[in-house]
Amino acid sequence: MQYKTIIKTIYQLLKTDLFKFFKNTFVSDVFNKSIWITCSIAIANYIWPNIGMSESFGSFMAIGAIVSCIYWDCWGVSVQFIADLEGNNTTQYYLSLPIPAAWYFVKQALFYAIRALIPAVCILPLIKIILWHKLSLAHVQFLPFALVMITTSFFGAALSLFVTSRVRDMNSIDNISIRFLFPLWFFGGSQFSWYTLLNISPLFAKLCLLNPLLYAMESIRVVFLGQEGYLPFWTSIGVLWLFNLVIGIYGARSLIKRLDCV
Amino acid sequence: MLLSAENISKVRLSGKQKKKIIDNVNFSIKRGKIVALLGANGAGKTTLSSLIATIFPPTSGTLLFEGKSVYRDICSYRKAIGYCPQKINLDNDLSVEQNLRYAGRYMGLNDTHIKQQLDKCFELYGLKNYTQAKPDTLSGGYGRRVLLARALMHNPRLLILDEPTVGLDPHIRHQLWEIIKNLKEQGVAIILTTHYLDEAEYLADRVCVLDKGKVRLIDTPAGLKNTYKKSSLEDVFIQLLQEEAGA
Repeated sequence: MQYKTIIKTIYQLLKTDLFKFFKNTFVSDVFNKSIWITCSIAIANYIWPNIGMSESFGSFMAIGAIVSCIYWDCWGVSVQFIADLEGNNTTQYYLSLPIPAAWYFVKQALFYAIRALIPAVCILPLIKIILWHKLSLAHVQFLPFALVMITTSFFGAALSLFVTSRVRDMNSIDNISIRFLFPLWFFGGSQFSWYTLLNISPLFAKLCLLNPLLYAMESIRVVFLGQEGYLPFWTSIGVLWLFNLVIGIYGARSLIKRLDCV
Repeated sequence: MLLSAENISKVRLSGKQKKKIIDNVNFSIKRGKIVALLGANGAGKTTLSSLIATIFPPTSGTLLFEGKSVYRDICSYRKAIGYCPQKINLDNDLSVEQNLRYAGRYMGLNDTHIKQQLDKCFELYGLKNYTQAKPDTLSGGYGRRVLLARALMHNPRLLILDEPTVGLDPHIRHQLWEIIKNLKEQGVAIILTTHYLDEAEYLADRVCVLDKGKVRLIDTPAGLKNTYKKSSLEDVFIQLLQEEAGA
């Protein structure tokens, strides 16, 4: 196998993807995510405490919202991919380039991770501005933060491949969000910590350990809010990478089979 | 021999049943020659050209490029071929120039070479006024020219054209024919899928008639006309269809 050719082709394809992303999508993507983050934090931080929620719930939700932004990116990516297959089919052209299909999907995963990571990082200052003194960044260490963001972005990328492989056509695209992505998100610790769930229902909490989103939510909260009350950081990161590999490889293989490409 | 297909078959699932779309096809092509793939709708022309372009793998059989299986080094093979699909699948987020520039980069050309190729393509295919246009704003004829230019950016040795002139005005068809003829004279081997028998008669050195995924006939246009004692390829094709209906 010509690895030099493959790496060069991946590099050029990534450059094109990033060029198109920054030119067409980036600004509106950050803007859209800012609206979502502002709304969700405003409600969790300023309204819910008045109906009995903890004062710290705003920062708890805000940190989880960073992961949620990355998580929900897979939905847009899948819609774009399926729309292309049913429409212009530029994918067929990219699959005819000097790169085996499996490597093309490695490139796709890399791009999905980068396109999820950059806007998520960009909205961090906004979160700090909205929460201000309620969110201290003084104890946040760069390396664990970078690690959790990269790991979560690759989770988003792997999930994108998986979701795309499960969507049959544009008519059935809503099914996967309602039947799969929403339950995974609601029970993935977006609004509660795993230990809270353990106190309520140990059995259900153990079942939720099969949800990879939970590990992303727990690990990012450890970075911002401290280890106490969350799953061990390194265990979460390790398990999430395991899920990334399994979901990503399964998704890519299913897509190769479905598109019948070489 | 530049390319040879040996006992190529492709099976697809149609509902719960397996359907042989390409059935034990054998054919070959030399440098500087044009082979036209002809056949009625559903004969397997597009599937066969896609198989040769390695868009799909065959279910069985071998595809040899200069005597070696193309699947042993698919990257080198894909660098040696240019594929122009039936559907215009240019990237609408990019301008015409960017589509071609990036195509050159994907194929490993350096910037100087890309610049030379761009100038050549813009001149040759009359695209000078459309370099900054988005592909979805172009007419079908110009879209096809860009598609052809993209397939030729890296000077391929084998060009696969799937219905390159479908839906085009007659004068644009004739312009494209001349471009194809010139490529042949430069030594490029061309596999041409077409519905137009006049196109096959004018361009092809050999004609391969497909029927239900099988090669029914393969010969020169003159040879086919002699065998069937007809004055045009169109009459030969009509007789073949009548024979098939009577069989």
